[in-house]
Amino acid sequence: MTERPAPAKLELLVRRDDESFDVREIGSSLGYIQSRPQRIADGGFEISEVKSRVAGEQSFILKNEATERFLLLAEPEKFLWERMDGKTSLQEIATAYVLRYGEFDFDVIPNLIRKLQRAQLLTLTPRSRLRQVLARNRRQRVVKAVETTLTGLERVNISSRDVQRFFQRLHRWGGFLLFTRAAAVGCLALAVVGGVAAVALWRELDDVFSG
Amino acid sequence: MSTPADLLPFLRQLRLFTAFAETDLAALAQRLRERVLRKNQVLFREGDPGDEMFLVRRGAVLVSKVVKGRVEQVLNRIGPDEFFGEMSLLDGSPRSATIQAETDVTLLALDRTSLNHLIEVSPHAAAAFFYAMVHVFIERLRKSDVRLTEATRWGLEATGLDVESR
Repeated sequence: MTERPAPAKLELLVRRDDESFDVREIGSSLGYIQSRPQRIADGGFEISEVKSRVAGEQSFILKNEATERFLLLAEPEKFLWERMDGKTSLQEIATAYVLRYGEFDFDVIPNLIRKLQRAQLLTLTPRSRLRQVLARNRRQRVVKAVETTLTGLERVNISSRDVQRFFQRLHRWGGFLLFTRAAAVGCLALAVVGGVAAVALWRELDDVFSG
Repeated sequence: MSTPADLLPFLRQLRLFTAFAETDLAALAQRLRERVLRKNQVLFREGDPGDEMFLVRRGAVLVSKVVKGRVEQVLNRIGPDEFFGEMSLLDGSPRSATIQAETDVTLLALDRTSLNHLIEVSPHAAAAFFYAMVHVFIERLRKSDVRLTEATRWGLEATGLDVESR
């Protein structure tokens, strides 16, 4: 019997504003339970109840309209399927399952997801709404171009070196004057003068237009 | 601040210098520059220019690479008696990753001028140095293969993607 390996882990470093950082170990299981499975669009499938002779047992036929593939779902599986709306995480789906049935079978969700993936009933959609809209209209050339540009922009990495040292120097050599009371009073005075000038100009506007 | 004489016992036990004669080691110790980092302090960032490699005398540094925004992947953790930064020293390319101190750290920096000096004055020692370095590179390459497969496994597990039955 082969032993199942421990879930893979990624070690990530997250920077804070003050140049310090946190190191976080993220297990793949965390990524999994926070994923939000999404069923294909409403017109792409059909679900109907199967009449069962066994009392109390409900089952359903789920059909992929595009591939003509069928899946037989038990009632708890239909319950899970209905929650795969792309907004609800697996963790939330599992919680809803426990609340509904009072128990949890750890394999039910992964097994159902595998079945749905095989039947192409789940879709991987982009997270942002703009990306979703673009993905839906990908056939249009302009949309495709916007999507490509966005992808390009996402890859751009802007960084600045020694910026802190630069501003420190700027502050030391006179920049600090901007943060004094005198500077604040000066700015206020300038704003008042500007306001008065604007009012005066407004009054003279008629004279300007009338020549 | 350590004197070159203080550094000798430390240098003697490093893999890079095991084949060095005492005179070569003493000459090298004089050319090393000590650098102290406080915890969390960044030594250099990915993309910075650089022509030094560093030996870790005390503490540990984290090697990381930007993934997205403020999130970086930790590629390695380098502790006492290990070294880093050799890629820019050897090929003059910008730094391939960011180095920051995980704890308070004491480093010894070896720059390109000192390395060239070593090659000129003690070619035998320099050859031993590069040979030891290649061994470490091989170990790191093996580790990076493992890391790559682990990252792939992470992706498969996190998405629940069923590749076997496709």
